Amino acid sequence: MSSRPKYAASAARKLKRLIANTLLMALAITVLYPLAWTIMSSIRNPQEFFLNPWGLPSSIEFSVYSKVWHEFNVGHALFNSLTISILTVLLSLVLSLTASFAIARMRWRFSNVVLGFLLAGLMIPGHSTIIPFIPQLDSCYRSCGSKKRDSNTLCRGYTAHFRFYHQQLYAFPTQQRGGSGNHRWLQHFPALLAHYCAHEPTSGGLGNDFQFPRRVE
Amino acid sequence: MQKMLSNKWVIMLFVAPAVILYALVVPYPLLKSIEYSFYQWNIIGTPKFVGLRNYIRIFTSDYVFATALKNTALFTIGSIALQIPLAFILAVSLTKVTPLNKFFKSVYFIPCTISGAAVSLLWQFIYHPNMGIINALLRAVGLESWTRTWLAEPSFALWAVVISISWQWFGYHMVIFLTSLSTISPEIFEAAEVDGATGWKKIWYITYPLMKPFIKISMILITTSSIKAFDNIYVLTGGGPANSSTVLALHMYNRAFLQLQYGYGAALAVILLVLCVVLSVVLNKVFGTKKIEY
Repeated sequence: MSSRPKYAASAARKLKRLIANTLLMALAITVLYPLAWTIMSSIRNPQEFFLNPWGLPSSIEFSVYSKVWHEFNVGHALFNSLTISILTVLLSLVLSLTASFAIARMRWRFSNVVLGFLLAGLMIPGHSTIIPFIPQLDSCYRSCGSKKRDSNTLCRGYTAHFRFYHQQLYAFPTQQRGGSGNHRWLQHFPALLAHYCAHEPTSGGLGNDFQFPRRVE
Repeated sequence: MQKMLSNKWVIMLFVAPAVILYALVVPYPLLKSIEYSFYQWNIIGTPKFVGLRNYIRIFTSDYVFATALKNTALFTIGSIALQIPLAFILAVSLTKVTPLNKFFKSVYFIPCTISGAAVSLLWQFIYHPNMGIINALLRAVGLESWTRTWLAEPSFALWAVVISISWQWFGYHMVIFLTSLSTISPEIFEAAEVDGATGWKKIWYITYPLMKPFIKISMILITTSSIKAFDNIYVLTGGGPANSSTVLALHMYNRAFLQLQYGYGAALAVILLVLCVVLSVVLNKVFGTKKIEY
């Protein structure tokens, strides 16, 4: 007697689960397919790309990779990204470790003030601090001994720097073309690095809002 | 050891490097930014003090600013409306730890690990009028008349960016909500079941109130990142067509770095900053910091 409704209930639950899983799978496909497409397009014949952009590739070739590698100087860009990432991680680790230890474990009057001061940076958009970096970079040019300080080069350099900054924030520059002076940004390096290091601990902390630092007594 | 921990010089040694670097890179340029906003300056010449004229120009005669402000608001609202409900539903339905759920969770998180510029390039292909998959799908199901040149459509360009951003970040907020769900003890749900709460009731009366602080965090994250939104829009639409998808950060970039009006750009940057701070505070107040416990 009582087995029938129970059976019906479990069947209904199974159906519900099936519908839910189908929807979840559909969403997973909308996430995965564009990513798979990116990889497929990269190993597809470039001519075929325009004829059949969304299907499976008919043959696999890696010509695009060597083309990109040679024409767009990816090796250099990768090296730049790596240098920036490694130095940023190291320096921000040292800085944030020492500072947070001092705030959490040491006894001093202004620890909460300093904590508030550092955390206030969370609310400040990087955009509102980027413009005054121009004179800072200007002095950076000078200290690096660059003689090319005609205004035009400078302005282009700064624009490139600003774009570079945005791309670098995401660790892999996509538009770093050979002609725009791959080496010039090295002169911005100290300022750039400083900018990252100061922003990273705070923006990293933003994602970790659950672990909001608390004073340990 | 205790003595060392309260030694002034040791503390200085620990804190000073971080504070000094931080002060040089965030607060100092910020104050400089505010200072420059009162000047007219094209970087080549000497800065000329103009008082509040930059601000007056922004609020009275800069029609792009009005569009950018409206677009920023729409962008924020759109991102919140798309991401938070989706992330919430996903988090609730993926709470149980099964292999399939683990697979879904990791798949949804993948896009956040990719750079914004790369995602935008990808979406440029998706929206492409001839080769794009959206138009291809519409043609395949016979809705030829619905096909558009998506990114060149003034009424859709902004939403196109919102969709691509939401596609990238909904997994991130799902993870935040999943973390918060794992902090709710299962006993509460058991007690609610004993009291007769089922399905939706359980979600509405137990899960939602307990997750509110985390929803607040997600809202603040989305709001501040929407106000700062730059790279996705820059790559995807470039602010066009005809400024219909320009946002504040892009407007600032155009004025300061393309038209070389640094003072004007600095004034826009200050407005950006004020908006960010004010909205964070308002959201904090609206959602309250009161802890709910059962």
